[in-house]
Amino acid sequence: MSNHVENAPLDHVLVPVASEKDASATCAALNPYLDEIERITAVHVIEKGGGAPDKAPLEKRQSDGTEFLAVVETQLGDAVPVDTRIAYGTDVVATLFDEAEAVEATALAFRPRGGSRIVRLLTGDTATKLVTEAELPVVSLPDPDED
Amino acid sequence: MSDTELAKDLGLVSAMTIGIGTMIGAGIFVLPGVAAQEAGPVVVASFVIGGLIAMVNALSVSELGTAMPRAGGGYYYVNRALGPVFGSIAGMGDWMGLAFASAFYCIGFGQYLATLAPIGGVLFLNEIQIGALIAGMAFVGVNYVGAKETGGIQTVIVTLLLAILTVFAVAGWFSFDYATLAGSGGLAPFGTGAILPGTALVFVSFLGYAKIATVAEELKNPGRNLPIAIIGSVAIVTVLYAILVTLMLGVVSWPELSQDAPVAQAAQMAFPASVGPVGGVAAAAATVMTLGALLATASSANASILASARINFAMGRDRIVTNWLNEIHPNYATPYRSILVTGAMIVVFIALLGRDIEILAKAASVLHLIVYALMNVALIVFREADPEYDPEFTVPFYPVTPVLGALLSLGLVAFMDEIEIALSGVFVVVALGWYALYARSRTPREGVLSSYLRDEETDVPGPVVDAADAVAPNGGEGPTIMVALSNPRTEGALVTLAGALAAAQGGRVVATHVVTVPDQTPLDAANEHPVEAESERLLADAKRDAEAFDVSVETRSILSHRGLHEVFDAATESGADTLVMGYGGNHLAAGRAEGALDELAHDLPCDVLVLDGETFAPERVLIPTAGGISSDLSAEVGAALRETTGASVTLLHVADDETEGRAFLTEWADEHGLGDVDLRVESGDVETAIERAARDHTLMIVGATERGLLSRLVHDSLLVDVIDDVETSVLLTERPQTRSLRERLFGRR
Repeated sequence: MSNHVENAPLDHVLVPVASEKDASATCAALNPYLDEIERITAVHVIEKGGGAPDKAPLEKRQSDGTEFLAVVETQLGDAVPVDTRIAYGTDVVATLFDEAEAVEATALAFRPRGGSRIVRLLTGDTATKLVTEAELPVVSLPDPDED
Repeated sequence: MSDTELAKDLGLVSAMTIGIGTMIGAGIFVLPGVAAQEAGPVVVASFVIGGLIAMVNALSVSELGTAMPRAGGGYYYVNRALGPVFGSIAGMGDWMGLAFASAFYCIGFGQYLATLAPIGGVLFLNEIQIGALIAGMAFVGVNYVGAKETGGIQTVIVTLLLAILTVFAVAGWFSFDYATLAGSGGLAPFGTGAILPGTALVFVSFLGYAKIATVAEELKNPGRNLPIAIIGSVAIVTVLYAILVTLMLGVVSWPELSQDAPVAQAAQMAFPASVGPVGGVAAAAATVMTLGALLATASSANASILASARINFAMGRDRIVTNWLNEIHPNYATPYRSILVTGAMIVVFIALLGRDIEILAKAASVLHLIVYALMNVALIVFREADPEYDPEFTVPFYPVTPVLGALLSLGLVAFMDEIEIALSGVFVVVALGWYALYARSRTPREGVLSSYLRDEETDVPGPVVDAADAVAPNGGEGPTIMVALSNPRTEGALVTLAGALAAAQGGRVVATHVVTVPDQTPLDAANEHPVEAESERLLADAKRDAEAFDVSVETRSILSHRGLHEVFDAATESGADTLVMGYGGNHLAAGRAEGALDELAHDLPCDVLVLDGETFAPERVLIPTAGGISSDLSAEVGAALRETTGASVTLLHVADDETEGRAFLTEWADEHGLGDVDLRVESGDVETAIERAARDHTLMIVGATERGLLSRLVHDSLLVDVIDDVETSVLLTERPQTRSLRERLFGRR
């Protein structure tokens, strides 16, 4: 654990990826900081019902997730070592922090996906929970095009 | 816990509540009144017979589900076993059947809603239809947004319902009066002949169990939990229906039982008006029953909509419907298009047919019964024709059980009214039309049955084989050429070969990047490190190279340990007719390549072409032949190359007697449409002759015939020498044939 304190916060960044668009946007947002990043672990979380059937067919989610993660690997893999993981959990945010701990990430970096208040309400407002329930440094990446 | 365990989080109780929750809504809350009007008190027997038919089918579903715990349920089994013609019928049947059933549940919901709050009719819709439409759209909305709580409360709802119904049963027991049950007309006022038509009507109450199979991929330990949940839920609801319907009819005589809200009415009568000082007990009980009915019908509709998305997914995977349907919503992570399309059908059914709940109920049943019948046939086909079929649960009394299941399912259809039978007839025709016009040119999959028929041409009557050929899928109107790529250096050569073949035969190319994973890494784990940048580049190159031939190209990646097993699996899965691959090295005797070719001797999934060398130069093609099935393949490849690349082809035959040899070769060339090519007949040592002839050519196509490939490579080493010695690139061809393992390994003689 002492490593975490000595290391720069962006040493090993956990990057959640929700969709193909999100994957590209996140990669673009990470681009300016790649010099400071030693390693990236990209994670796609498949939300489980925890005893209820999933919202969508599991196999479809798995193959989609593999594609999303491949985007990160393709776009950033040449600059930084990229690991990819598919994780399962009933709570997306808690699952992300579990993953961060499992891979010993030093920070979590994400692109807030915006959306209206109602969409955020319906989707559980992951962005807010990531920040308010943080278990490690959480970086909210700015959109590089909005300077 | 490992990731696979986390992904499979449905336990036995959850699975059972899916089944019970879907079924209970209809049988108890909606149908008793309507069904009692048809059959009188013996309608209890109708329910029990329905339960028995469901049970026979439940056994078959259980076996199929443990053998293939994949999304899609009935459709998936039928498509795998009987091929896409019946797969189209089963998939469409399952899907439409669920839409009809959902419309039926929504009407049930509307009936109880109308007793709670007067809504009023609009235009041509009565108030029940309005309530049903509101409910239907609400369920679709909830599934579209995918509030994760919807699933979680299923267990709560089912527990609550069972509790409510237990209290109702107790109260009913005390108010039960046999005289009320028997009534004035006796137990069978319409005669016992009314029992089976009654079963036809109430069978919709048993449509939930198969839904468990549609989520089989999410089940923990499906080998154990799937059969228990499916068989258990059918047993439980059958007993429940028998008891509760009997009680209801003993509380309210059948002619008076409400057709819209029977349970609320029976509760009103069964409970005392007041308990001690507390009044209004009966009214409260009726209200609780009404709320219970709303929950029950809602959970039935919800589970059906969820299940229909699974069926769409499985159909999309096989290209029976467009995969566009199965896109996942980027924010809500739901299969929103599938849900919307299904939702639209539900709304149409409610609006057009919602006035007569019987039509909706029977239409749902008919379609499901057709699927069940096909599923039983599928089970028999798997058992008889698929050596890899290995279910953990097996039906008792095979083959009696599946035969009985198919006969009972179709037999029950006969007790429906003309309109439902006509509807199902129209539907089958539409499904077949869909296959012919849409799916046939797209789906790559052939069923176990037709492969079996077409492989065993000698044992099966010709017309049957012709028929199987006539309807076989032609995914993209021609053969599928799969090219397995692992090395960027050989990509160009292999894809050019595949593209040339596809162009000649009007087929399509599936370029597959084979990502080799170290042996110690399990493939599941490797799945987390899937596709590298290299893969994207390689497949982009492949796409470009193949498109140069103006053929359609699909790309995909697979993970594999040593290459061939997974490659062969992928070939089978994508329905490839021809597999094109490289050696993975230049030297046959070295390491991996030898292992890879050893495996070639095992069961081939399709025609296999192995190219040695990094270049593919088909200008002057040499085909040495001594006849045989794989030489046929060499000839086909040679002819195809001549057509698309303008290659000049030379046939070589080595014989002791030149005259005989020339006669053989001339005839052989004619038979293979190569009558006008150069023929070369030599005598003497085979190897020397081939080597000498090869010098003047750029590509040599060698068929693996007559003797086992393995023995040639390892013992006889004819090919090893030839390939080593000639400068020419060599294309090895092998066509699968039925041979014993021993023959395959050591040759026929």
